[in-house]
Amino acid sequence: MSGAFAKLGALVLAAMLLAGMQRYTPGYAEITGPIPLRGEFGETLAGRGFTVRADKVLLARKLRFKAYGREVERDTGGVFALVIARLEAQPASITIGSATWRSAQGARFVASARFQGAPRLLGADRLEPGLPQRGVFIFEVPREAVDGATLLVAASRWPRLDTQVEIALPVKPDAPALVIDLSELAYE
Amino acid sequence: MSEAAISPGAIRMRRISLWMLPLALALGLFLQSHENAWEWWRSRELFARQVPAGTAASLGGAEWKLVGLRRVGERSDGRAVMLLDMEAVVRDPEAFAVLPCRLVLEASDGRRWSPQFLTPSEVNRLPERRGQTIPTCTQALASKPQAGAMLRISEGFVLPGGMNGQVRPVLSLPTGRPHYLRFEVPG
Amino acid sequence: MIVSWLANLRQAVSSKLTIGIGGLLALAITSGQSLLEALEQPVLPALAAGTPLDAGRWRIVLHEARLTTHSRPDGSPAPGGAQFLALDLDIANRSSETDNTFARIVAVEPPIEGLQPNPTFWLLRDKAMLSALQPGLPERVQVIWRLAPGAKAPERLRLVVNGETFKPRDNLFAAPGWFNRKPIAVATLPVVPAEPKP
Repeated sequence: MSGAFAKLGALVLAAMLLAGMQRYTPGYAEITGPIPLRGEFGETLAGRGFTVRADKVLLARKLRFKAYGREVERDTGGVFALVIARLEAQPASITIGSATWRSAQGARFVASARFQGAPRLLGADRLEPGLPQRGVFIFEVPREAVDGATLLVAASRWPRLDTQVEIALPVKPDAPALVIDLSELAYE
Repeated sequence: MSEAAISPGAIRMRRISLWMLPLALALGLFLQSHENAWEWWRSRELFARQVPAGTAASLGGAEWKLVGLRRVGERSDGRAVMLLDMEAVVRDPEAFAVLPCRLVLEASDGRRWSPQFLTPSEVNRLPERRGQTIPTCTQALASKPQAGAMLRISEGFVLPGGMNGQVRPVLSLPTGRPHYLRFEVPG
Repeated sequence: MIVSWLANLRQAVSSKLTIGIGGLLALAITSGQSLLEALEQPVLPALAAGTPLDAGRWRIVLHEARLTTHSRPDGSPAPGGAQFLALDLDIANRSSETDNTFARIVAVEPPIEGLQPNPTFWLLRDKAMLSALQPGLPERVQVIWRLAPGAKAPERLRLVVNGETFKPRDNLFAAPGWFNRKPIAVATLPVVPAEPKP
């Protein structure tokens, strides 16, 4: 009788162990996911393939710019968040395909595609070593996604075993500018 | 069951099995990963061949020769516009036509610049280029030329100012790796 | 001798029985499941215009469907008297990620003859093509289908709304994602005829 109990116990134990492993061991996507490189705002961070420094965060309700010879004004149901940054390729030419605004709640906002043709948009042109680009990432986020946000920069949207730079942004949701003209932004 | 006597033959079999286990594991690992290892070997630039100025070297089904690397202009912010001219004589058309071509400029500190599209005004100013379209390396490969064909290839680069004379062309082709060529610039 | 043989036989029979019963049980369960699925009549709840619907990954509100001569919300009439079917709706991205899979949300079912597939999605805020929906920021969107020249203008538009469910860990990569797209509601909208030519 005790033998049967022991067998049952072993079975239950094995099942629990398997369930626990299935639930709590990191999955394939996590193991082969991005390699985070956390740094300070205003600090130059050197990832594999590029360096990045975030210098300034601005909020605006409306953005104005000139694209292909046309004046464009964009508004939003939330708020536009602008990050002025400096990017450089290191050691070889590279395209930075992904900038993401991660809110404190964990929502990920990919840089807005509503600004094609705007001046000095980062991520549009390939980066070259020795030729740093200073420009702007533009995000469109709800106001509650501003406080405690993090900027993520990587070569692709889902980096696999590659650098993802993560910079905590010192930004408060109060008092966004009514309108910002992108051609009048101070980049230096 | 456990009380049953184990014959010496069974014990020997057990021992052999135990010793075979690492062997089987190693074999399994090899069978699982040899394709990846081969892929890695064929995709890495591991062995550079230095090509002295004025000579040709063979890579990926063609003889490659550096014709010239010169600075043809400067952009308004001080960046240098460089033009690289190469010559390729096709020996093995099949190997030659495998894309993509990786033709870059490399500085002594290991930094690498990929080719860039130059505005026509930057290139067409040059007298010997007027009215000519010279293919880039990838275009040349994609054109699938016959054996014995001689191709002119040209690529444009934008570099920081003052890099003149410090960069060397590096050519790497899928069918040539893990070998690649580093050309010496004449002068 | 005979006792041990009997014991062996008993063990063999019992293990074979266990395997057999288990297999039969699994077979019965899966066939039962597929049978249930086949039996289940797809009675989808009806969605009225102007009522919000929670579709898992999205929340949508359907507004008006109408015939138009405009191929895009800002443009002048398309040349050649081409006809278009335009649908206004609000879409909110309920996921935690910027999303560009909005083309899956609604499907014309049954298909309307002459209505070309792959409509264009326009962001009315910009009067430009919709490229992505940011989480938590609902947008008014216009979907425009092109009608083949000479096609009979539809009087009503029956739409199936698709929903998706969130899985914190998928079966292949254990990555979070949205899966199991299936119709969850159906809406029948009257098609407002085109405004008469001035």
